[in-house]
Amino acid sequence: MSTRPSTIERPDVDEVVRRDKPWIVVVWNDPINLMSYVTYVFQKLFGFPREKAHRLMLQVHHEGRAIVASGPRERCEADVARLHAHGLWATLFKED
Amino acid sequence: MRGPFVRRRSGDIDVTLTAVEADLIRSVVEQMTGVLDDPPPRLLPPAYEDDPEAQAEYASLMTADLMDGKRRALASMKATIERGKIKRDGWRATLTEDEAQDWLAVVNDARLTLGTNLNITEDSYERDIDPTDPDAASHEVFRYLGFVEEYLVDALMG
Repeated sequence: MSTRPSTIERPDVDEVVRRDKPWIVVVWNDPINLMSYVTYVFQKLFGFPREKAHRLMLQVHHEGRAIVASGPRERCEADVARLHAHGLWATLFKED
Repeated sequence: MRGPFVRRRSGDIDVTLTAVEADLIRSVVEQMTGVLDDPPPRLLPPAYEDDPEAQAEYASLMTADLMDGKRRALASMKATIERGKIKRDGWRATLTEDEAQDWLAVVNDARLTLGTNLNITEDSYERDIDPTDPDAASHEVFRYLGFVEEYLVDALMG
C-alpha cells in the first residue's frame, strides 16, 4: 500500500507506459508432461507449425521455461486457462 | 511397433487393447471420477505466482469451467469404453477425433495426478521399477499411461 500523500496530483506518466506494456505467457518445465504431448498442445492451441511447437517445447525442457504468447492481459489470461485445461504449467506476467 | 491406436483416413481412431489393458483403463477412469470430486492442486495450477489477489480472481473465474471440461472429457471416455467390444484380437472401439482428445485429456490428468503422488522426477524415467517398492504397481500404471499417451499423441498428430 502506498503512503504517498494524496495531495500530489500530477499525471502519472509511468502508469500509462506500464499499462501499455504487454503481458507474456510463460510455460514452465515439469517432469510429468511428455515432450510429444507438450508439442501437440502448442500446435493445437496456438496453431504453430510442428517445427515451431517442437522448438518451444525443447526450450521449456532445456531452459525450464519458454514464452509462448504475449499481448493484452485478457487474452494472455485466456491462453493460460487453455494451457491449464491441457495440464500444462503456465503463468502470466507483465513484461518488465 | 504398432501401438494401440490406428488412425483411419476418415480421421476416426481405432483402439485395440488387451483385456488386461482395457480393465486397467476402465479402473483409471473410475479412479479419475473420484479424483475430480476433490481435485489435487496440480490439476488447477496458478496463473499468477506472485499476486494472490489476481490469482484468487482467476481461480473464481476459471475453476468451474476447467472442472466442467475435465468432467465432460471423463464422461465421454466412459461412454466410449462402454461401447467397446471384445473381439478375437482383444478389446476394440472406434473413437472420433474429439473422443480421442477426450481420452488424451483424461490420460494426461491421470498421469499428472499419479505422477505427483509418486514424486516423479526427470530421473524416474531412467530407473527400473523396484518390485519391492510398495508403490511398484502405481509406477507400472504410470508408465503404462505414458505409453498410451505417447501413441495417442502420435495418432492425433497424424
